[in-house]
Amino acid sequence: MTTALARVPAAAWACALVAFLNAAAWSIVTPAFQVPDEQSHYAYTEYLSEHGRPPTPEPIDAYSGSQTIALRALKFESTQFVPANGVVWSAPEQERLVRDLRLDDDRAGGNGGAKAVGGEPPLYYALEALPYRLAGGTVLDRLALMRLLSAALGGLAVLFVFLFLREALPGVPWCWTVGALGVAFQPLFAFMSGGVNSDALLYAASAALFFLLARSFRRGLTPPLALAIGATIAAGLLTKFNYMGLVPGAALAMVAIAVRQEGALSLRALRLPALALAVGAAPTLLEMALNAAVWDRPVIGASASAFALRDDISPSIGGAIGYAWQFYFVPLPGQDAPLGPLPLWESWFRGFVGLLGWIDTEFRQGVYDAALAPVAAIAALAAAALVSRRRLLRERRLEVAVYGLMTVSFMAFVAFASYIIYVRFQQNVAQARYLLPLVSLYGAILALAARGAGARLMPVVGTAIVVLAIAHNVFSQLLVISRYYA
Amino acid sequence: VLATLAVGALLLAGGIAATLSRADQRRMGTNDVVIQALVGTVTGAREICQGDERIPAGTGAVRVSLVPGSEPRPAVAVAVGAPGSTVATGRGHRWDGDSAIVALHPPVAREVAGRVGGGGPPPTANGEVGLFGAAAGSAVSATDDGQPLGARLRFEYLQSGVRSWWSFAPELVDRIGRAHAWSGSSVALLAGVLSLTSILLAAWLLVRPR
Repeated sequence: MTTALARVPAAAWACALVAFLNAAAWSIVTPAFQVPDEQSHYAYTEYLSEHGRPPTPEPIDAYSGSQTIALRALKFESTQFVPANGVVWSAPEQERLVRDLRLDDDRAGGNGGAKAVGGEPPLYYALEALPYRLAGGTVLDRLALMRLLSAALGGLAVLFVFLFLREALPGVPWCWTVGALGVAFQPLFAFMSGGVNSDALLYAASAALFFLLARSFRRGLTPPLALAIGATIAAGLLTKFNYMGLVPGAALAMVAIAVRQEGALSLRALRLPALALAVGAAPTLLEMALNAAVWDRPVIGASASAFALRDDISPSIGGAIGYAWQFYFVPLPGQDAPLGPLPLWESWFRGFVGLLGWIDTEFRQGVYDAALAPVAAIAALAAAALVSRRRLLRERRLEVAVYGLMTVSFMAFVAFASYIIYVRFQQNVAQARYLLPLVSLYGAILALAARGAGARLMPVVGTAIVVLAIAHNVFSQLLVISRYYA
Repeated sequence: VLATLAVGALLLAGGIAATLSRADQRRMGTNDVVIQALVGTVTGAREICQGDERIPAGTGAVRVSLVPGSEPRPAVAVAVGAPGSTVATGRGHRWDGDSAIVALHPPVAREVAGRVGGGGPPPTANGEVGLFGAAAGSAVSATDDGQPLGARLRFEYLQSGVRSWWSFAPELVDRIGRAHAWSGSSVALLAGVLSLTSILLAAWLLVRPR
């Protein structure tokens, strides 16, 4: 383990540090509980820490006395979704906040965000329980340290993005830095990594899986790698249900690599993939057993969530497929537009460029229009890089197909879960952050774009990509400051 | 790489400088009422009064969420009152979309816990106007000639005159320093240092020998 860590390039650690520092800055700039669902994730951690067990899903959220007072003093309800309102601005308001935070120290009275996240697996919250305990003090003291742990997980995700690029695009080491820094400064990624939300660990676990699979493709699937992949899958599945969307592609990748190594599909070839999947599934099976036998929770936590299949709705496979298409792209001909006239633009492109806070903090429309130019240029350069290396691409088509499958299956998982919510509540829950577990591939696109400029222009284009990412990040922070503090 | 970084840094610095130089009338606070609907319509010089307001120190104008029923848009009068006294009054024709901005004389020197309207020229207009706000119980409702409207109106409290982001920076730093685990200008300073360090480290990563 120590040897493996020692082999990680210094540049990878430095990129991780950049991501951590940037996410830490976001954790300060973003007001408390203005990261999506942060109040629920905080409540889950509080419940786990105070009761020594995860919460049980319930139809409503009830917060502890201390959190209820903090939310009120922070004007949570009048600020959430209302860009016209800010947070605590004046000295008298601050004095009232400080006084109110000390009014009630009840931390055990809530139900742990039981409605919003009560059915979610407990790994992220178990990790967050540590800073929660270490910080002590008021809700804001605890939240600040918990956010720093998320920022560290953001750094870890970028470390794995760098390592993924080193394995997947080994030709030009400098481009690994370009791709990893591009991810570190992606504003939505940094914003989410600066808040208390299980997405932070989801991103890290997803990036780790992409790295380990790329390493297996390049160096072969060994028992230590299979164990590492299994442990990563276990961590992802114990973090958020969405991670399930990456598992089919990972399983196929391992089988394909093993068959290539053994020369045939045989029981012997399947032994390492089976080991990885067994290691990956074991903690979740243990959690299911504890849910049923000890914690009085549904065996599968997801079965109690809003996107679970139950008798109250009648979804169809055809409806799900049609919805999935419309969820990401455009309405189907002859159908209503349940997600608006152009979801690809409204939810995904604009979301990626900058819909921050509770999706209520946005740039002026011209910014999104202008962003089309650099995005198109980067896409064209990345495509040029792929075309110029098409022979290599053909040789590695299996690997490329696996990344494609992981992308499609993950997107399908998110879309189908959202379809259930749409059928049940007629609500659109599309948010660009849901696709950030694929951030390793975003880093690969940036690295490829730098290479696509050709050897002579690569330093210029690679540097320009990072400068653009930094500018995007800085102006996003200014946007958030102007929205909440002015 | 170094030349590209230098050009990028110049462009970024220029963009930030241009953005921060934009001047506008800055807000001192709002009453946090979320506009949900048109909550009433009044015609002529009516007295609209709303209590339970906290008017921040430094307020030099009030933005009232109103929609005029006809053109030309009417004059609107506003008074800020504390118990037993009128602190500031104003009257004006300045409109910005669906809101009227009325300058106060004198500006509010210290935070006032009181009312907007009543005790002087109230936020009324000589012409039909619609009032924007949110439904509220009669105990906290705004009143129209003494009768509860069943709603609270949205007010925003503005500084006098326009200021660039540069000159507004001290207030911004103060605000960022509130509602955190610790308070003071060191909060914003730390965020700035973290951001700057991450940028400098990234630049070093790009230019270091490969």
